[in-house]
Amino acid sequence: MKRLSLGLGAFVLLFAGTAHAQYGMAGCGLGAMAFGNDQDTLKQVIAAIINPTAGQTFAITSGTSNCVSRGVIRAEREQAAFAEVNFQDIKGNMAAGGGEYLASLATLLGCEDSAKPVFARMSQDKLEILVPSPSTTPIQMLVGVKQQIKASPALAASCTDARAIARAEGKPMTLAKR
Amino acid sequence: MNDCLSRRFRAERRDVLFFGPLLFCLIVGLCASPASAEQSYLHELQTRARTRGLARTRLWQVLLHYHRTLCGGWRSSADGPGFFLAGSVGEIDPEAELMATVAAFAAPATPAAPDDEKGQHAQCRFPARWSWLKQELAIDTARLPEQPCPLFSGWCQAIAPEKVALVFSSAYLNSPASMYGHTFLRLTRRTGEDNRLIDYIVNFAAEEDTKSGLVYAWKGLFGGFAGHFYVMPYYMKIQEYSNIESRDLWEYELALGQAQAERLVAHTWETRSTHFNYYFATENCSYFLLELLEVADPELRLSDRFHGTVVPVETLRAVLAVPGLVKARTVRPSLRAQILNRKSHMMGSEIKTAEALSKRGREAQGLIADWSRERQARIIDAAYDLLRFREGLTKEPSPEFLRKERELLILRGRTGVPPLDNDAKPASDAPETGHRSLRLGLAGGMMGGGHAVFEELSLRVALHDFLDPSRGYLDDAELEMIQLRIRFENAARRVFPERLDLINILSVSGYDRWIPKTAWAIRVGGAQAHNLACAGVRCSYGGVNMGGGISFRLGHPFLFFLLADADLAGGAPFSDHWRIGLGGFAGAVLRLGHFSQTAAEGRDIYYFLGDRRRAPVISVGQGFNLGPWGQIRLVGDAVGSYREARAELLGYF
Repeated sequence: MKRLSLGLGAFVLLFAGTAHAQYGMAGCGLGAMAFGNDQDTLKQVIAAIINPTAGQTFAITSGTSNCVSRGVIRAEREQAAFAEVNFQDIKGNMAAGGGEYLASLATLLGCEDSAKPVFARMSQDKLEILVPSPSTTPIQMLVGVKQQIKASPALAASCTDARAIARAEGKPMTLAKR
Repeated sequence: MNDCLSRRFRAERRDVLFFGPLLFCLIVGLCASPASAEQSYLHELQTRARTRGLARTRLWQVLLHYHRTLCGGWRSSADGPGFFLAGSVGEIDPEAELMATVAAFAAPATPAAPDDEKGQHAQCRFPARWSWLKQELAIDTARLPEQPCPLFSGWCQAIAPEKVALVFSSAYLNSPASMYGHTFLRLTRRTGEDNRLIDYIVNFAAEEDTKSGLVYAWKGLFGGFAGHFYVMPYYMKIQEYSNIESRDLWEYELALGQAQAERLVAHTWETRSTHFNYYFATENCSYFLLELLEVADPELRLSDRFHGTVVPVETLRAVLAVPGLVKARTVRPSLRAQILNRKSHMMGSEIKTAEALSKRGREAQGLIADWSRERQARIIDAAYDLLRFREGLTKEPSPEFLRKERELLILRGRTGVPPLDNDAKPASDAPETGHRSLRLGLAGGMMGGGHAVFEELSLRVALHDFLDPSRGYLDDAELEMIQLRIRFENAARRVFPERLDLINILSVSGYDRWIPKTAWAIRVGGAQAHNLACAGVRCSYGGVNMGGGISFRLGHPFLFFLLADADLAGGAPFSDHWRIGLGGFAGAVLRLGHFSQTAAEGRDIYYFLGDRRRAPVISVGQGFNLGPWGQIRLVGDAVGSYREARAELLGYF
């Protein structure tokens, strides 16, 4: 019964490929994160799960070989869509040092449950770096989060692309190898 | 004539002579070729399907959405042609559609672009049918090759369904399509991380193609909208319903296994080729969800129970009525409930401080500098929610909002305090605890100062007024559609319609400084102008009332409202046959537990056009609940100098 025209379109700004170029990580890059020119959020998010076309990525562990895997694309599109739509809730959770949205983001980033408290504390501690200005975009925040994960040995060991990709492909998220 | 024959004969012979060897080659070639083997295997499968009566099995019926017609035939509720492989006959002929489906599954693959959804093989467009028939007919994939379906399997893997939950979103009065609530399905991911936000949901919705309210209402009621199933992440709906529209989300985990959940998802994919004509009152979102649940478990008989209107909460009741189908219930209170809960735990000075923080951002941080970190965090959390609720849930938040938002977040982060619990409660008890939607009533009373005795029959199609048992309903809204009261006056031996409400809405959320919502009301219907000393059908009039104003609460049980009201009415009893006026409308409601509701309201209109006679209305009512199924109600009404009192016995069905 609910009407389709989501007030939500609201929250979602399109990724402008070039604007984020400087945040692109080695090997891949953010240009391909754009879902296309369609303004419809719904279509964007659906594109994120069904569209298997290849593109560039911004994986935590960079490496060009990842760029051709469909799982990577799907995982990253889900991360990006989640950040776009829930930006305010995620930021609120980061400031509060935890919450449902932050836990879900950690899952999308391939973090183990045991690492989520560390992830939440990191988000609270590094908030001013992760959201450096009022105009910080969701993608910029996401890239910042990934950089922080890489920089923290504890998080880098338990938040892995392999787990994020497994999840995106509907496989169980096995524990990272130590 | 013979010549003709012989000539023809000769010609044929010549043809035979000429084509004979060719024909022979062709026949031999055919027999030896795989095409011919496939042809005979297809024939074998079709015969097997026919003799086993698969077209009459329940699963085939639910997969194709077939329903019995009045004349004993079949008709599918799917309305798009792409859904039927037998062409338009597939819509009414389950067997023809089955044969055509088997044939399409056996068709050779044609090269299609990897992302060309419509050009895919039938096995890929109809994976639920394929999976079922493969099993039922024991299809040998060496003889009927299974096609790779990268689009479908990629899609299905991403959703990774394991379990299914029915989600009921509470009513949202500000949109006609959402007034009765809404239902959709959440698919728990089998990856097992238990983050509901990132589960996928299946939602049935009409494709809206108009901005005109009238066209919308017309198409919604009489058809014209095409409905589709949409799959999207749950968080999209949480943002929309829970945050923007302040609706509680009730979740009912269903006892469906992974195979059933996967069939449900596979079938959702199949419906991408079609649409379902959407009718606001009957074939709506909640109805088609029942059909989808029947695909998951064909033993469920849910959609058959509904023949008339389908109110979402009634579909929830139908699901709950199946023994063992619902395993657990949880609720996600709306953002509004969370904000009000935070506020209710704060002292007056803290509320003021939170307001200052949300208005001025960092400039106001001096106000909390001396407080404990925990207390600071509590105030900032509230200030952030308030700021967001007031300014953040818009299309493009202003730079001013973004600046204050970041300042509050930084302040909160610096406290280092972990997340604080918010034990917010939903705005009502669980929806299924409420009374049923249809109300029938018997009443007896006296009118005109005790001289005339009358009896009454009443019917209301939906849904709730302030005197009805309040449990399970939002306590700040009346919503009635199609209420009719027929009165029999004993002495005069007269039968007439006492009242007809086509629509009656009163939304009085209770004013809160943080969430100031205006109260509003609309009524379209007819009544009797008893005060004008007339009676019977000649005394009937019809009209529209619209009002806006404020409402407030005293504690939980008391609710007051005061509205400015405009009145437009026409009918035989009025001089000039009409009247227009402006005035006021006020009322109070008192609820005591699950047992009793009391309501009083008054309306006085100054009529300045047409019939100017004043007719102040006062109505007092008391409902004693017998349970969710019934009520005894006492009502006293006064209109001008006219008086009546009545006792009613109401049942909810």
